[in-house]
Order: sequence, then C-alpha cells, then structure tokens
Amino acid sequence: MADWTDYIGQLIFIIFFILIFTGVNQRVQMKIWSYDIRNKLNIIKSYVDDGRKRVATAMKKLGIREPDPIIMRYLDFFIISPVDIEPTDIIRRLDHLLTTREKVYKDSLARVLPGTGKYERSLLESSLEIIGALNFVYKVIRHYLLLGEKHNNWILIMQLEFMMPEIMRMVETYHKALDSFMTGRPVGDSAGALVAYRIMEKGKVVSKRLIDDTLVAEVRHMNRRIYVIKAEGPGSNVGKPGRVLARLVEELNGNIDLIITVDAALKLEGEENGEIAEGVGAAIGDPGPEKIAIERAASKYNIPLRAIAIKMGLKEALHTMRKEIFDAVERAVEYVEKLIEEHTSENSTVIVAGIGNSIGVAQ
Amino acid sequence: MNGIDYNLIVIIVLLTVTILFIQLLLETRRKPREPKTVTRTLLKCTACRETIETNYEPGDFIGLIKGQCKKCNSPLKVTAIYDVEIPEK
Repeated sequence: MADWTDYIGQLIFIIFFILIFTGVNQRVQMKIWSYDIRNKLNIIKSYVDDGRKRVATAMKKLGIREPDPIIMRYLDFFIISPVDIEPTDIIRRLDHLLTTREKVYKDSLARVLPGTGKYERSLLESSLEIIGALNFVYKVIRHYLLLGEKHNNWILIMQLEFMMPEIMRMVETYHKALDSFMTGRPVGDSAGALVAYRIMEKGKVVSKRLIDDTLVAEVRHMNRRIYVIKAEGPGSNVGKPGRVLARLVEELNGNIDLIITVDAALKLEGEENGEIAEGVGAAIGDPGPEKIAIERAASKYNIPLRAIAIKMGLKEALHTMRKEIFDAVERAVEYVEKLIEEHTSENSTVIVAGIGNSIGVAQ
Repeated sequence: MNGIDYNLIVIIVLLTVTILFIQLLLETRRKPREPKTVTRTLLKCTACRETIETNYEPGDFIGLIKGQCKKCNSPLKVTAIYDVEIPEK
C-alpha cells in the first residue's frame, strides 16, 4: 500500500503537469499580478483624492465656496506637443504653448481668487499641477491594466507589475511633495535659487528688477560686476531664466566674461545626495526653450558657459530641503566663487543664474 | 529503503517551500521605514551673526526678517529652512 507522501508527490506532479501544458499557470500568475496592480492603483487613487481634498480645503480657506469644479477643470488639463516632423521654429512653438499653459493657470486662479496674493496663488497652482500629475499616472496605469485584462495580455500585465515599484516610488514622492508645496517650504530643487540668493547676500546689491517673474540683480562682489538671475520668490515659481538671461546678454551687447548656471540635478543610483559636479553647458532641466535661449546667447557672443550641478534624488528634489542639500548649497556658493576667481579678472562682468523653483526663497 | 526516510525528506521540502513562500510574501508587503523628519528654521542675526535654530512655522521663508537677537537686539533673518531626521529612541 502506497504511503501518503507518495500520493502528495504524485498529486503535486499532476497539478504541475496540467498547469504547464494548459497555460493555466500563466492565467493564475496574471490574476495575482492584476490583483497586486489593482491594490497599488487604489493607493494611487487615494493619493489623488487626498490631494484634491487638501487643495479644496486650502481654497475654501481663501474664500472659494465650491472649489471642486475648479480642481476638476485642471485635473485633466493637457498640453498637445508641437508638430516635430517639421522642426522649423519648434522651440518658439513649444515656448508659446508652455507660456500659454502657465498663463491659463495663473489667470484662472487670479479670476477665482481676486483678493489673494501672488504667493498663495503660486502655491495652489503648483499643488494643482501635482494632483494633475498623480491623476495622469492613475489613469495611464488603469488604462493598461484594463487593456491587459480585456485581451488576456499577460505580457502587458507582467511589464506593468514589474514597473509598479518604481511608479509607486514616484507617486509617493509626488504625494508627499504636496506637504512642501502647500506650505511654501523650500524644496531640494530650490538649491539653485538659494545659491543665487546667497551670492546676493554676500555681495553689495546695486540694483534689482523683475522681468517675467524672474529677478535680475546687479551685485558688486569679489571686485566684479555679477548679475544674479533667479526666479521670483518666495512663491512657487521657476521664472523664465533662459529668456531673461538672453535679454540681459543683448542689453550688455555680449560684454560678459562668464556665465555660470547652477541647478539641482537628479543623481544616479550610487551617487550621494549633495554631491557637486562641474561641467560645461546650461544646467537647466526645462523642456527646451529656456535652455536653448541660454545656449544661443552664450554662443552668439562666444561667452564661456559653465554649469554646476547639485546632485539629489527625485524625493530630495521635490520634498522640503534636507540638511545635506542645504550644506551642499553652501559648498556650491564657494564653488561658484572659485570659478569666478579662476576664470575672470577683477572688474569683469559675470552672470550667475540660479535655476530651479524659488519656493521659500525670497530675494 | 537503505535507511533513507523518504517521508522525512518530503516533509522537509514541503516545509522549506512553505517558509520561503511566506517569507517572500511578507518581504513584498513590508515597506522600508521612512525616517521621521522635522523642519527647522535657521535664524541669523544681521549684526552679530549669532545663529538660532527653531522649529519651522508656516509663513517662514528664506530672507524673512523674524524677531530680534537676544544678544544685540538687531533683526534676525531666516537664512535656511531644512528637514532634519529625528533620531529613533
């Protein structure tokens, strides 16, 4: 008489055999993956709802009785990329679209919140953008999950399942970023703006003016004339540093000895937060128009264009500035001063552009 | 047969597979613990450069003049706002 372990062994073998040759194992695996993705999708949905509630509460505090229709309007707001099979003047077209989008957000909030200051409106604007991004991720994942289930496409579900940890990390980062953007605390991305602010603080400010939500300050420092460019703060704003820098170069007829751009840059895995790297080019992470404006202005007058990057992860860039990033800002200021000293002589004219969001950093 | 207890081997294999499966399940569900942080505001005296670190208050921003220096009565300026980790007890 066979022993019970023999029966178990044979049963396992038969089940294994049936699963392998009928493809049921893939179906089972697909169901497990779908279940897992659905759970994560529900978490993303809860983040979107939570963000909506928080923005609605903030709007109510500012006097809007019915904030939901306004939030809903911007939740699905989209921008259609310019035609790229005909690249002529694509930068101008892209710049026009981005500027229009920014204007739509700003004007609409100004219309519904007429008595509210620019600072509060900028925080709401950024918060709405964060919820919009979360909502977009939610919809795309739901689309691929439903599509995979509908067509029994286990390859699609598998790809989605393997991408989910990375997507969840990004989604959680965006969700937590709301804490900083709703309260106006400086984030890691403000590092460039903070470097610019520090240089203004260290030198003697001769003049200040605002162009396109961007500050241009003429500073006397290290026996040099330094033009500091940064987005207007302390609201959430990235300004138009490229456009303003190009305009300044034209105003000065190209009589500039050095241009330095400082920005927060996403680190590679294995790199430390707050590492500083030096290079050549325009350190700016915009979709194109601002960066090309800097490159064109520098190359037109043959002005050396240097870049300083303060490395950090996405989490560190979007969350409240960490102490190690603040320490890196201090080191970056010294780095900028070293570059100015090494590459220019006294009475030279230098432009230092602190790129990034100026949230929590005044001028 | 030959003194080998096959029942024992099957039980060991089944137990090992079960333990590994449970461990895998727990590992995928376990989230890495995020360190708790607190936002601090660094104030610096505009005259004597004395620095004071306080808890962040809504409305603080870098460049804000906030309060007076206890040493020399000069205005204090917010020079930094940053997150620091709270050490675990």
